[in-house]
This record gives sequence, C-alpha cells and structure tokens, in this order.
Amino acid sequence: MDIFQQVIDPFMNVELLFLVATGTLAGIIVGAIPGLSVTMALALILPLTYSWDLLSALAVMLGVYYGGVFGGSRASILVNIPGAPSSVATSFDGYPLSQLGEARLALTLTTIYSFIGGIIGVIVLAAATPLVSSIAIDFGQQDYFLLTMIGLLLISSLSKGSMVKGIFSACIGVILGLVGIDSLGAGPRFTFDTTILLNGIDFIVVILGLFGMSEVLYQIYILKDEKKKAVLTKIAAPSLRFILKFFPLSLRVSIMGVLIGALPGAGGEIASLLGYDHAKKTFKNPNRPFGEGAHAGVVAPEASNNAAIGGALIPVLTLGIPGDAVTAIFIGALFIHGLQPGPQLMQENGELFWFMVGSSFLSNIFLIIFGLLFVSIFVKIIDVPKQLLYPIIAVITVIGAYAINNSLGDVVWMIGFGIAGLAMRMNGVPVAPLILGMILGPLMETSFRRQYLITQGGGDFFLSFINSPISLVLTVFFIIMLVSQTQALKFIKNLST
Amino acid sequence: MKIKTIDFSYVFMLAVGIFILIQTLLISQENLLAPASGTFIPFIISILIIISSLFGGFKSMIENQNAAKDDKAPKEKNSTGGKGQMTNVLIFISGICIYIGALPLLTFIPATVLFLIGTIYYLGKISFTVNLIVSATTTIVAFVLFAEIFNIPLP
Repeated sequence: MDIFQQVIDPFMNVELLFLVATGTLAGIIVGAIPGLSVTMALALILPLTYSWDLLSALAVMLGVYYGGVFGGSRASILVNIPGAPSSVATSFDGYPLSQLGEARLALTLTTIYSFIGGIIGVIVLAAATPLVSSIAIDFGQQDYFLLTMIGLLLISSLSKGSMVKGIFSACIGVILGLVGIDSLGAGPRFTFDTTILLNGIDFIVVILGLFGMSEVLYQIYILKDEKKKAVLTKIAAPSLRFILKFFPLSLRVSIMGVLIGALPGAGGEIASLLGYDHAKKTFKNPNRPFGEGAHAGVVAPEASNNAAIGGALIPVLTLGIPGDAVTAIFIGALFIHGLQPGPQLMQENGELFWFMVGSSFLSNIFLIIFGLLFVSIFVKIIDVPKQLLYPIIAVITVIGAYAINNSLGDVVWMIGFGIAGLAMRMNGVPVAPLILGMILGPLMETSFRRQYLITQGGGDFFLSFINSPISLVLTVFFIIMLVSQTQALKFIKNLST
Repeated sequence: MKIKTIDFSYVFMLAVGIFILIQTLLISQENLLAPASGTFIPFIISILIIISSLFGGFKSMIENQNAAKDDKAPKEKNSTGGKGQMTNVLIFISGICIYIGALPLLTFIPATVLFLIGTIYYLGKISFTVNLIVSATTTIVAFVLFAEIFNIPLP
C-alpha cells in the first residue's frame, strides 16, 4: 500500500503534475530541435534545480528525459536530421515516409509506440530491477567487448550501397572516438601534438556536423533538382487494428531496449539501432522494404529507445552506474541533493525510487497527450519553404554547437564535420556507421585491452569468451551475427550447392 | 586502363588508411602489436581500411570497365547536384564562416539577422518582406529561447 501511495504521489500533487508536464513538453521541444540533445537540456536544467527540493527536480528532469528522447524522432521524420542520437534509426524509414506523404502517420505511430515502449520500460524498471541489475553487474570486460562488436556488425545493415564504404565510415568513427588521452595508457593519441585534442572530440559536435550542417549543405546542393514533394494525408488516427499490428514487435523491441538500456555504456542509441535491425529481420510482410518507408521501421526504434530509459535508470538507482550521459547527469542531481546512488539508496530511500517510477508513468502519459496534440504543428515544418528552413536550421546548429562549451571553436569543428559529411554523402559514404563507430569504438577498445590485461593474454584470454554463461551466449550470438551480416552465409550456401 | 575507370573515393580511403597507419606508428612508447597497447586497435583499423579500400577499388574498377565495354553508364553516381548547386553550397559555407567571424564583433542579434537575410535572399524564391519578417522573428525567438530561458550566454 505504501508503495502504491508513493507511485501515485506525483499524480495527486498539482505542483508535481505541472512540473512533469512542463518538463515533458520542454523535452519534446528541445528534442525536436536538431542539434539540441536531451543531455544538453538536462545539463542546462541541473544548475536551475540546485535550490529546488529533490522531488521537484527529479520530476522535471524525468519529464525532460522522456520528452527529449521522444522529441528527437520529430526532426528525424520531418527533416531527416535526428534530434537526438537515439533517433538516428528512426530517420531510416521516417524520412522516406515523410517524403511519401505519410509524415502524419509516422508521427502518430511513433507517439503511440514511444508511449508503449516507455510504459513497458517503466514496468520493467519497477518489477525486474533486482533481476536485470544482477545480470548487468555480472558482465565482464569480455562481455562488453562482444556486445560492442555485435553493435559494430550492424554496419552492414546501416550501409546502403557499398559495404566497403560503410566499413570505412565506421573505422573513421572508431578512430575519432579514440582521439585524445588514452584512458588506460595515459598517452596522447592522434592529437598532432596539440592540446585542443587532448580531451577528445565532442560527440555532440560530430552529431551536429554530420546530421545537422551536412544535411543543410546537401539539401542546398540538391535544392533545384526535381524532388518528390511531401503530400500530407489526413491520417491523424489510424485504426486500432492497424496500430495493434505492430504490438508484438513493439513488445519484443521494448524488452530488448530495456535490457540494452540497463547495460552501462549502451543506451538509447544502441537500443534503437538494434530494435530497427530486429524489425528488419523479423517483421514479416512490411508495407514497403525497410529503408523506403516501412511503418515497422519507425515503430521499432522508437519503442526501443523509450523503453531503454527505464532500463538505463536501473543500474543508476541500484548500482550507481550510469547507462549513458543522461543518467550520469541524474547521478549528479542525486549527489547535489545529498544522496549516494547505489544499493544503499534503494534501502534507505526506497520511496524515492517509487516516486521516480510514478513520475515516469506520468511523463509517458503527458508524452502521448502532447505528441498527439502537436502532430499538426510538427507536420507544418514540412510546408515551410526550404529556402527559409535551411538557413534557420544552420543558425540552430551553430547555437547548439556553441552551447556545448560556450566556444566558437566547437562551432568551427561542427562546420568542419558538416563539410566532411557533405563530401561523404556526395561520394556514397554513409554517415550513420561513423556515429556508431564513435559510440562503440572506445568502449570496444577499452574492454578488449582490460580483458587482455586481466587474463594476461594467451589461452586464458580466449577461454574467457566461453567460460561463463553470459559470455558463451554473447559469443554464440556474435558468431551468428557475423555469419548472417556478412557474405559468409552466402559463401557457405554456394559451397553447399 | 583508362583513368576514368578509377573511383577516386577509394583512392581517398586508401590515403586515409595509410595516414592513420603512419599516425599510429608515430604514437610513442607503445609496442605496436601488443594487444593491450594503445596502438593495437588503431593499427588493426588502419589495416582494415587499407585492405577494404583496395578491395573496393579493384571491384569498382572491374565493374566500371565492364560497364564501359557494354556502353553503360558508370554504376556509382551518387551526387545529383551540378556546378551551379556546388556554387550555392560554397557560397552558403562562406556565409556561415562570415557569420561565425561576425558573431563576436556584431553580437548575436545583428549577426544572425544579417546572416539569415543574406542567405535566404541568395537561395531565392522568398519575397524580401517575408525574408525580413522571418529573419527578425527567428532571431528574436532564438535569443529569448536560448539566452533567456535556457541561459546559454550567446556571443
């Protein structure tokens, strides 16, 4: 009974209701603006909450978190610029849907399944916290290495056209992720003897450049070409039967998302990419091929990345380990308010956990209300003449890059990545694998080296990949992925016939 | 072998791979091939880029030669813009560079209004009145949102 009261506490308090609603709306708006990440929004909000009581601060921050992750899909669908890293996969089919005149349907579907994914994430957060955290805590370095390698194998799914160019893009991403001080060896790498690269290259700058500025430049490059104009159909409320068609898929990818979200270092970005890949492989009879406007192609990543939020909060609250940058800010917020995240938090401040569960439920309810109410407003972005839209987006990306460190240096870097992204697009080199490589590369390298040092190399190193149930499952999964994602399967089939 | 059968993007990829390999070799105090060293993964990555670019280059060359024999157009052609569009892009990039340079001198509002008016005017098809209204409104909204609400100290 106590737990139930704590869960519904945010529903009964007008001030908390208002704060969650405001946070969710602000998150949707910030997430929808290309280049403004939910991480940045939370980082900016954190100083404002110093003087607030903890519950109010958490209510706003959870609202921004859910709203921001969801809001990222708006720009992905409408202008092919992911509003957040976790929305990259949504653009693969979201933007083609928009071009085919089904933007409204895509926005409605993503709203409904973001809500469903978010709710599933919260349910798992509430019900399975001890189980998932015990799995995550047992992960060894070899398991992280395998997990990141599985993620990198997704390159073949992301590479439209030349696989070689996809590999090149991912490799460049890995190298960019390794720029700066070596976290294990403490020496500088790829810094060209300058100090400005010692801290590495900011991921948000690269995202802004490759997905913001380069998109603007590429659109200007093809501006006068004949292009299919988006024709909006009035599909505001798809039938219940149509919506339910994706429910089994959303359940699978949501569970996948919540588990991935619970793994430290693997957040919504990886969850959405894996969710998309899962849909591509398992969803039978899509309305169109994936990548050309498949409805399941927007449902899966959105359900998965919103479910990942619930998962990401599990290790934060039970172990004190952040799943991604956003949850790291959450840990900062708890520290500011005198709390020590970890197992003791659950024992001493259990009510706080149940309050967060309640606030998360509430945020998802506001998410679906605002998401469905504002469909028309977001759709109108398409009707804005491109000659007006692209200079405005350029200004927003400039502000976004500047806001990271209040430095024009970051803006210059962002423009550099924008020009590089334009060159990549013009030569058929996909940019998404570069981002994937940059996210996964450092984690892959660190876990590989740590495991090698722990086992002191040799046979023990290789045995470590099969000597625990988790490692064995991941190794088998990795081999299956390797065979299925590359041409090895085709080669084996050819040999057998 | 005709020079036009070479896809220069693979040549560029090969050059990048070699550049990364050289940079990896320049990382001091590391045993290049020791798996626990900070150079091992970059070394593997550079080799992977070199091998895949050579593979891709040769494959593309053979495909292009076969296409040339059959009087077909080259298979890979991704860009859809022409010379005029590239000029637009270069002018737009120049505009952004001037805008970045002007930000500390003119401050955010005048620099942004001028940048928006200039680029929207150059890209065309928008009346000057609409251009002025949109540029001014966007700048003010952006300033209020970022500087006043989000507390980002704009230049």
